[in-house]
Amino acid sequence: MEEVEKGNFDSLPVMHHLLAGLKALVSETMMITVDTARRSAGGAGYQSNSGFTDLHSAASPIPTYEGDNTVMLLQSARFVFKLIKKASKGQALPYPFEYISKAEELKAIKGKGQSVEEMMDIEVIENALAVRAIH
Amino acid sequence: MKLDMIKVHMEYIQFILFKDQVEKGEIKDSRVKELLRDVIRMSGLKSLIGNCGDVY
Repeated sequence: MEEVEKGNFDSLPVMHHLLAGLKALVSETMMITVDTARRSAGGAGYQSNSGFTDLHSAASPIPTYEGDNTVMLLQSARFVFKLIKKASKGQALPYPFEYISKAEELKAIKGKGQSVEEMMDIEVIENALAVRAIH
Repeated sequence: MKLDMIKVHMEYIQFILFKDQVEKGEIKDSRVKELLRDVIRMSGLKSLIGNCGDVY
């Protein structure tokens, strides 16, 4: 915020990418969760005195307003494609997108996470998530 | 395809930001940090259980 007040908007593309992507992801998760909660209450979930009907009607427009989730995700994806282009030219990527420039290194990881103990290692989970995103 | 790609990318970014905040943040009771590390593990594993085909 201090940087923006000084007229420095360098972090704007990253912020736009993060906010657009997270808005879409979080509102979609929220909508699925509210619906699951309503259905798990059985028929009572559809009665107004359960509170779920108000909750559902308040939550249901969120994936659409302030930018539809599909549009938000595509805007977010555009930034990732720019980063991929940068990485292919050998340019350094800002935090937390460094993993994109380590694609080959990540793809070369083999034979990890073969036991429960290994899968409890945060680094193994992080690498697995990075490899999935690289694909 | 593009949407799936960006969703898994955002899940990874969420994981990294959460992990770094837990590791860098100052918490008086060290037991809380260990509990938060368990939350990191659970969130990461839950995400992988939901979609892990590309990891193989």
